[in-house]
Amino acid sequence: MSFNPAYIPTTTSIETNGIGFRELSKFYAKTLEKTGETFELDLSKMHHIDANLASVLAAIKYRLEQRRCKLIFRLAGATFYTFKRNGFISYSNGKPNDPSVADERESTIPLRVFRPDEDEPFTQYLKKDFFGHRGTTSLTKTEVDRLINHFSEIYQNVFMHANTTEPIFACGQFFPSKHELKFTLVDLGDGFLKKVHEKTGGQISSEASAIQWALLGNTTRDIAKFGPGGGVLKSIREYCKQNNGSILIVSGADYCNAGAGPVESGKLACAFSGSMVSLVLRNL
Amino acid sequence: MNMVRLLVKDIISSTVAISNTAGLKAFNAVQKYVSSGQEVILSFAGIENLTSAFCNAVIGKLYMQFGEKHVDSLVKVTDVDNEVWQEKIRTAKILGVDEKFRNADQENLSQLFA
Repeated sequence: MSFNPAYIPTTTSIETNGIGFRELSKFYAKTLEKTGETFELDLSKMHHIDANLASVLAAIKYRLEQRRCKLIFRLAGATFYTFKRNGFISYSNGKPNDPSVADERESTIPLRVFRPDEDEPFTQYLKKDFFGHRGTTSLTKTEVDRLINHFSEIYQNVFMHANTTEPIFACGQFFPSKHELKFTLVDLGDGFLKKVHEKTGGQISSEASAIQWALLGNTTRDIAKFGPGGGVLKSIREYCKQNNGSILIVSGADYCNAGAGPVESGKLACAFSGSMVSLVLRNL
Repeated sequence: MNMVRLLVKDIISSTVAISNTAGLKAFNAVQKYVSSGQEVILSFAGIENLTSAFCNAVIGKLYMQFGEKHVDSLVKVTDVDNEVWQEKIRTAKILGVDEKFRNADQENLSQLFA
């Protein structure tokens, strides 16, 4: 097995935004089309990495292992402890969804891997791990119900467009002092473009346009079969706006970040397989 | 004819009502009665999680297929004490009844390329 030089990010902080995703994609780009090799991602010099991005790292590791590659993470200091508390270290050591992982500080929301149609475990994750949490005790019941609903809608939406039997990776983090919550869901399916391209008769031909199309309230839902509806991402975007937050969606090599202002879109260093949806909520 | 009481959690064999496919199961269970003119109570008792995807597949599709008058006269939704879920059910009904509302979000493609 050949060993590649360790990849050290070019920034010392990786957050849930376009720059952060681009940074992670630079590492992923180095691994593309490689089989049976060993890679090392050295995060030991990082001052900060959003813990919810553990779901992205876990998905990258899963993809590499499918190509018989080995991925070693080097973590140190605060980042190491955060990633230990949210279960990422256990996941890296081959123990996904480790029940012994406990966060005594209750600022992380554990990394969890779900198979399609694990609706009940996902609901339990939201109720127990998210909202049975110290950081959310100030929320009213209606606010909690609304958040559970938005996360469930995203989860359901991901399965609709992903068209995959591969796992979905979820992780979150609370910043209690900032009243901020970040959550990232990663799937390894088709991404946005395929279905949107079909639905629009080929008029939408880029991932970024497909994401924007969905954010405007459009849907690929089969109305004759499943009844009316769709537009879930638009209503979640509205909710994020009301909370000074944003929704960031990655599909293929494109991302769109929709907050209060115009949608910011950009390119990653390479395409991730599937899609990623991150919510950043403030004023909680 | 007696009113039939259908429990969502029994129909979908789960307390979590979030997927389209589960919604479709509930739709199929209810529509049997609605199409034959029998009154139905659709109870959400014991449900722990509910999404618009589910509501639209059962409530929205019922209204789309059978019309407002027919569904209102035959189907009674009960045991929904969660404010957010009540909103979802109301919206599903409007989506099923009102084609204009249903298409309101379908934005013009040209917006994307402006």
